[in-house]
Order: sequence, then structure tokens, then C-alpha cells
Amino acid sequence: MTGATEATISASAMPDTADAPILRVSNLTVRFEMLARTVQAVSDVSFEVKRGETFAVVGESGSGKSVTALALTRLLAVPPARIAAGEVILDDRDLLSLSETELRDIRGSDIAYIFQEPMTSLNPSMQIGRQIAEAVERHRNASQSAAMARARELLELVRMPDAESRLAVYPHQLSGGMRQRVMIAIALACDPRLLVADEPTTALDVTIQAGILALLRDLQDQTGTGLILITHDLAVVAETADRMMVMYAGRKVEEGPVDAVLSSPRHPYTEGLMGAVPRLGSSLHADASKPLAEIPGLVPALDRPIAGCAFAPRCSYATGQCRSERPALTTVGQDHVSACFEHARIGTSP
Amino acid sequence: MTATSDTRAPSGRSAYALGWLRQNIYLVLGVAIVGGFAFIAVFAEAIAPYGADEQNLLFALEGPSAAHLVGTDALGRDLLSRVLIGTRHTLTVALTSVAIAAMAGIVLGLISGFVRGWPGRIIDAAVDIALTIPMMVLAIAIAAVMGAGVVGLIVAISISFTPPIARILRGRVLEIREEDFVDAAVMVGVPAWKIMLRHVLPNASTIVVIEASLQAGQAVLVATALGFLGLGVQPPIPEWGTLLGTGREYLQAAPHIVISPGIAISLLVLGFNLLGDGLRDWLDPRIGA
Repeated sequence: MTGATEATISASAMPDTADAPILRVSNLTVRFEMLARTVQAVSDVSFEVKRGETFAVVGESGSGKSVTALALTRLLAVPPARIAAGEVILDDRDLLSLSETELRDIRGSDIAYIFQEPMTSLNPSMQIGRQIAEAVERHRNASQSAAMARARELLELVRMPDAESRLAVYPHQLSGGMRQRVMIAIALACDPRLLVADEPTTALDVTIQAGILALLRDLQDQTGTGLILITHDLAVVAETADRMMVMYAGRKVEEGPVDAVLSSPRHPYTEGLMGAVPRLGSSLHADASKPLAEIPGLVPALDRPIAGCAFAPRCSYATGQCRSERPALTTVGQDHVSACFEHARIGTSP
Repeated sequence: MTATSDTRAPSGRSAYALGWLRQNIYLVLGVAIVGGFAFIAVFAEAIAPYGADEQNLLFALEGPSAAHLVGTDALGRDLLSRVLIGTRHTLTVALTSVAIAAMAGIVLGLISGFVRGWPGRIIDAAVDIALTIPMMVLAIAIAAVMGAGVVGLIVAISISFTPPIARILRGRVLEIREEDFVDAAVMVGVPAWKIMLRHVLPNASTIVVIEASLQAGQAVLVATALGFLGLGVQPPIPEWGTLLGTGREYLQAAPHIVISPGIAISLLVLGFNLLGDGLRDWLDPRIGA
């Protein structure tokens, strides 16, 4: 795994033309305030995305990765959600303090979103050409015919075969992979500075997945767009991302360059996630008889404060300190941070 | 079984068409009935054997005969001609008022379903209140206030038919608002009103079409009932309800007078109901019976 990871990383390494981050999220905290209880879905999460960089956010269901993405694009329904604290700075503007009107100008032109479900993310009663053109018209003040011409260009860009005739097609006439290409075309319509992709390939076949990921990577090379890739699939991360952040129970538990994190994880949760990935050909190895590892237990409920490390109950390294005191993020390597007291022991035991 | 039935089966396309017809028999019948009445409404003068107001007192209150297929009324006017020409009036009132109700219902339903906060809530409460009043009572009250006549009739029916459309559309809009493609449109920066008109309404339109066609049947009933009560279209215009109302006085002596408009009313209402049910089965198989 390590060898393959390093190979793909060096291939996707970006030239650091501009080191200034295009997006800076600091101390983001999101609560869902309901009648009986308040759930803190995201706690104190900070990260940066640089130009042309792919930043992966990893975690299992309920870890807060999707809420983070929705919060930073202000797509969360407020109420019940409330962004309790934090800043989301995109090119010197705090997205969290913008009015709806200001947001509308930014959405689609500076920041775009690719949804998980290509089957439901397109309007079933609208031709796809019109749906792509809508974004262009909105932000470029383009005439209808100019927007259509751009829509055709975009379809060609996302390698839609027979783009011209597909403009007049309705979503139900396309396969899932083709629809996701249309979604990417819409997202790219106005050359956004930042693209947020929430599990863009989860709903697709593995072969189609590879095609979509390759497409995203190529487009990113061409346009220099920053990409936030939300996923639970470590294979996808290894293949596409430059840096990654692992989330657990709404908190960042580890962050670093993908090769560093995947070759020597410094948080037991990351290690657990990696152990839970089935590997083709593993039967050839000595550990063929070993069953696929799982992380025991469940993600904790987030409706009351957790004393100590949220992962402690599921962790084989946990000590008394882990159960009483929450570990802060500490530097464990070059650009590599982990929120674990026992980070030095990771990889040594069971 | 397989070999013989295969060779005897009609070719693919006609088999498909036949299957479609059989599956959508309500729709076919509804379109035929409503279409037939629409044809009559347009070409009534050409079809009718006599003029609507052509009197012949010598033949007053006569039963069916060769000259007057369904008889004559108290003034010796040919009833068949009056019913045929009356189609136009009844159909016009019903369709106009349902069209107005549909438009008003679309506006109210879209806003109350899509706009969070007070505008939606106020509309929703108003619709709730309006729905507690029986439609016929509401229509009679409005017609009484507006005064008898075509305009009052149309206003009365449109107002009383708006709340159900607003309510049914609101439910569908609430559903669609949560769809990913609406978020996707938001994320492209499309303003709310455009999302309502371009992304929400087109996907909710079938339910309005179905409801409106079912309502058209109800509108025929309300229009003729108000006509019968003297609150609708006034004589001598041969609107069906008005025909029934004037015929009522001669119920003992000449019961045939109320039979033909009665049959016409039932048939048209049946046609609209079949059309509505057929449309529902055809357009939205999920909620079909």
C-alpha cells in the first residue's frame, strides 16, 4: 500500500505557485439546536486549502465531514443548524458574515459544490444544456446563446461524448457517471476558485469512479482550482489528494500530507480506518487468514460534552489520561498534526 | 402456449399502443367525453337543430318527438338545442374559474411551500381556515355577495377552489424543496424566485394539472347548482343549471325538461373525473390506485 501511495502522491504533487491559501477555515463550530437537545456536529475545526491543492476530509458517517462542507458553503438550513463560532475566509471575505445576496454572487462563481448523488442533483424536468447555461447566465451576464455555447464547451471539457446533441437531453436519459460529469460541468461553469466535492464518486461504479477522479484531477491541473474532497474512501484519498484531514466526532483528529498520514498514521482512528480497507491480493500474503479489521464500537452521540478523547472508548491505546482529558492537536511531523496523547505508540501495538 | 401466442400476437408497436390504451382507459374515456363537449361548445349553433331562443308556443311542454328529440320547454323552445348551446356557458364558467383558481393556487402554494418564515405561515393559516368552510357554502355566500351573473359565478368558484390547489401544491413543494437539485441551484447562485419558477414548479406541475382536472368536474356541479338556485347565469341564457332551475316548476307536468340537462351535467362531470383519474394514473404512477 505504501509504495503505491507514494507513487500516486508524487504524480499528483502540485507546483506551489501560490502558497497563500484560497480558503481558510478557523475554529468552525456547528450546532444543531432542537427542542430537546443540542448536537454539536462540528467542533473547533480549522484548515486551509491552497490554490490547485486537493484537500481530503475523511471520516466515517457522522464524523461531521459533510456538515463541515455544508457549513462553509452556507447550505445548512438555519435553523435548526447554527454556526456557533468560526470564520470561513475565501479570498479575504468571511463567507459566514455575508448576506444572502452577496452569497449568491459568490456561489457558483467563486465556490462550487458537487453533490454526492448524481441521480437526484439534476432537475429532472430541465434539459441539461439549460441547467449548465443557467450558471453561466447568472454570473457571466451572458446571452442565452453565448451561455449555451459555453455549456457545450463545458460538456466537451468533462469529456461528454457527443456533447452537442447531449445539450437537449434530460437527466433521466443519462447514466449516473454521465450525470456526475454534467454536475462537474455545472460546478466548473464559472471557473470557481474552490470546488467542494461531497463524496462525488460514492454513488458510482468503481470503473466510473476512476474516470471521474481522473477528470477532476486533470481539470484541476488546468484551472488551478482548490478542491475539498469529502470522502470515506481512503483509496480515493491516496489516489487524488495532496493533504488530508481526518475527522472524528466533529473534531479534527489528524491532518497532514497524504503520504505521511497514510504511511505512518499518528492517530489510532486513522490507523483503524486504514485497517478496515480490504485490499485486493491480500490473500497472497501471510495474513490471509486474518479477518478484515473493524473499529469496535460506534461513533459517540454528540448531544452532550464528551470528557476526554472522543475516540478513547474504541481505542486500544487508550490510557487513563485519554478518558479524562481531551488531547490537543500537536505537531508529529512536517505539517503533520495529531490529537492523540499516545501518538508515538501508534503502529507499535496489536 | 409460448409459440402459438407469440405468432398470433400483434406486432410490437400496435401491441404497445393497445396495451397503453387498455391501461389508460379512464384517460381515453375522459378525453373523449370532455373533448366531445368541447366540440359541441364550439360548434353548438351548427349542430343544434333550432336556435336557443326560438319559441313556438304551440308546441310548449311537449315530450320527445321526431321534431324535438328531447322535447320542448314551457315556451316551446327546443330543449336539445338549448342544452347543446348551453354547453358553452357551463363549460366556459367551469374552465375559466378552474384556470383562475389554479393560477391563484399556484402562487399561494409555491410561496407557502417554498418561503420559510411568516409569508408562508400566513398563507398556510388562511388556506387552513378556508378549507374548513364547505366549498358549496363558500361559493353560495360569495355569489350572494357578488350578485347573480356570470362574473359573480366565476369569482365565487375561483375563490372557493383556490385553497385546495394551494394546499396540494404546498405539500409537493415542501417535498421538492428538499431535493438535491434545489440545493444545487442554490449553490450556483440562482435567486429564490427563479428556483421556484424554474426548478420547483415544473416538477410540481403534474399534481396541479391532475387536481385542476378533477376540480373542473366539481366546478360544473357548483356552477349548475348556483344556476339552479338562481345565483348563477340568468335566464334566458340556456346554462344547464339555469335550465334545471326553470324546469323545476314543471316537474309534475313535464319531467322531461330536467332530464336532458341533468344527463348532460352528469356526463360532463363524469368526463372530468375520468380525465383527472386517468391523468393521475398516467402521469404519476406512484399515487395511482
